[in-house]
Amino acid sequence: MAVLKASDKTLSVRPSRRARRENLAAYAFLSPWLIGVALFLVGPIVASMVLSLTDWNLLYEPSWVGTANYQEMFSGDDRFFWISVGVTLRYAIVAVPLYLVAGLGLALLLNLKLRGMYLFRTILFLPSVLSGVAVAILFATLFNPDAGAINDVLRALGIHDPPRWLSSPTWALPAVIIIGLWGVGGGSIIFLAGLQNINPSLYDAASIDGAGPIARFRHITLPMLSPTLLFVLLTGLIGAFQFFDIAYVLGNGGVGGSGGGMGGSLRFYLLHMWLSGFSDGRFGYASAMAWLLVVVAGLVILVVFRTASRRVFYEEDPEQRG
Amino acid sequence: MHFRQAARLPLAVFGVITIVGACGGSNPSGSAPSSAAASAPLGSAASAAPTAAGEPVTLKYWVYEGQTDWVPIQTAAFQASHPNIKLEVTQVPESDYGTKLTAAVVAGDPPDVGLADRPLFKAGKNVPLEDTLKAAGVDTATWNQRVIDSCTLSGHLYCVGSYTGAVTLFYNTEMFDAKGVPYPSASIPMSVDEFSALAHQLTDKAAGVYGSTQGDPVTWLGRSQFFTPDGRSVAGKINTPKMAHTYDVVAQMIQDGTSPSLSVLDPWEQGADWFSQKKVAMVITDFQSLVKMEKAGIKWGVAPQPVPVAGDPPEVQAWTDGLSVFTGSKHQAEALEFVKWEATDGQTLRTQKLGDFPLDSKAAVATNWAGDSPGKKDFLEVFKLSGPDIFVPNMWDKVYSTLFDGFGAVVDKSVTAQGMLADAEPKVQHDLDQSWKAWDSTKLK
Repeated sequence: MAVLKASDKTLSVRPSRRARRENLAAYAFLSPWLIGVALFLVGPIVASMVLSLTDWNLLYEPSWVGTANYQEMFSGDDRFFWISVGVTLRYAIVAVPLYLVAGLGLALLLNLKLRGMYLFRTILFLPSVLSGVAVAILFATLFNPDAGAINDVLRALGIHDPPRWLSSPTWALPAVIIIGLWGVGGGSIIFLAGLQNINPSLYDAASIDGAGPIARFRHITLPMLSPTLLFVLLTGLIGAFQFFDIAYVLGNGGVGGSGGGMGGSLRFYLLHMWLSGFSDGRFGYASAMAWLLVVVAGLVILVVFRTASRRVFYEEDPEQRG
Repeated sequence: MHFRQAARLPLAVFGVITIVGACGGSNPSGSAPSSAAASAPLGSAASAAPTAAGEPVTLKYWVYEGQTDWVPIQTAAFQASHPNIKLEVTQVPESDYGTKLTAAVVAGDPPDVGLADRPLFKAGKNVPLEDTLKAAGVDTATWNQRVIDSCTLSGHLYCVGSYTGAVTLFYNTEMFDAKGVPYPSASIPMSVDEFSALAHQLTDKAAGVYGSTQGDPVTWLGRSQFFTPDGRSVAGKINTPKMAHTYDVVAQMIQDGTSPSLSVLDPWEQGADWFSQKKVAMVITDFQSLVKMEKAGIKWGVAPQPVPVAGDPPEVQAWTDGLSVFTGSKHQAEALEFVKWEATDGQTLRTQKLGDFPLDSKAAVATNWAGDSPGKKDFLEVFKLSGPDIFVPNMWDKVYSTLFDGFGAVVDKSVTAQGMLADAEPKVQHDLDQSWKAWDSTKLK
């Protein structure tokens, strides 16, 4: 009660004129950022939510359609909607774990104490700073079914009818997943930072107790790296949901086409959203797709957080435990 | 620091944003000018004032990226004859042009002159040109009707150009002569079977010569082969034995090496290059490619593109570089002057400098465009087969997309042509219905 009384008293005290001036000055200094956020972030977010309930092609005033855009997605009226969901899910299910394992494996190699390791790290990290568009153009040439280097090698190895890769509805998505491995160095650098933060004394103690390399990896490396694994998993999932640039370039090759690979094989969700807006001129529908993505991605991330909390181990300093 | 002092910066920022916001999104008058005002004849007080006074005006002119043949000649000649008007050229990649242009129009900051199409015309974003052309003594009656159609909406002409483009079949006469093969007719199109047989005869694999190269059938077959005359249905057009046979024959040409794979050579991008290098005996491509073929010294002839079966109506596709003036232009009078020049002096200049076919077929005769060239004389015959167009909204990006993908699958043998077309017909009709629904839902402004 005494505390409450004290706080009541505190609340009743009016701030001094100087304090008010300082507060106002603080808000004044913050205002450019606040205005920027309001105009360029919150404003468009709110606008997109309103637009998702309209039919709008940029050139005319938006017309209110209520939830029709959301209903259209699930009604089958948009024949590419479920195709784009399927492509994105298949990519997320295959590519995210693959890149996670490949990134971790690469990080373990980069963590070895060898001469010239800094050079290897630089070389392996370089592809991840390249523009996605440049990478896509490079791989479009390599994966060319008739004149590409990859099929030349496969033919030299005796495979007379190699996959047609990006020109094939079956092989286009695997080709894109393979292309993604090119940038796995980005994830491995994060893993490497996590590996180097693990206290070496843990390994020493385990070795003294007779633990072999596999046991040390399973019982020390993986648990100590679990926060990093969670981070890379989450960013990988978000990246999979937002996959766009490479699909845009590879799916638009040549004259015409659906803009999403042969038969929609590369029509990722975000690409379909973009095409709905900028190709079909349906910005209301594209906004509705964006909001559905936000909700679904949010739910997936929530589920990952909930289920991961039991498996992620955060090292605590016993001295700070109180 | 006192509050007043501290608040100056954010208040200033807010003020600037408010002012910029108030200035953006509309033309200087605050509303789109009426078509009558916008298309007022040159020389009226409102339009002539800036240039008559000698004040320099800069027009923002958006072109497709890579138009290195015509645009430098065009801008230099126009600026020389109009010293007070400067053209500020912005090159935009063709694939992004529509998106960027629409965004600029909506933002209230369009180019003064650029390439526009029907959705923008319908939304009232372009200035009707007929009064300007009439005042300049231009009679569009002798222009190609298909080109006029593509620039016209509800009786108003919104764009003009400096040449006429067309899809045609080029052939190398020396290769034909060497094989003793007669040239194809310039007035009666071949059937795809005749075309395929000819291509097989001309193929010389040992010498690395392909018989022909042609794109996906949708890029060169007439629109009447795919759509009903009103452009609203594909019923009885796509899923037919005749169309399946056409797809089978063209796919077979790629499969047996008579034509290069489309993953190796895009006829629109590289076909003319290969033809100019004598690696291909026939190519279906843009007639504008003639410039590079003649530079390479190729002896050429031209014929209409094939039709599915003998006796089908011929249909030569034609277009122009559709320049349009935007209602949001701050210098409409000068922009109209540029477009008028494009359709008159520009057209003549382009014909003289580049040899392109003029927009006005009378001008082709008057300027003796064909001269002694047998190929150009053939083209005059071929071009007579260009009939009226069938308008289909969002045709290339949406309606044709299933057929583009389908042709690739037929070439890869992952599906038969008949199976692909049977599967494609309802999808194409669905996309067509959606495109028309979107088109019909917008009102003419």
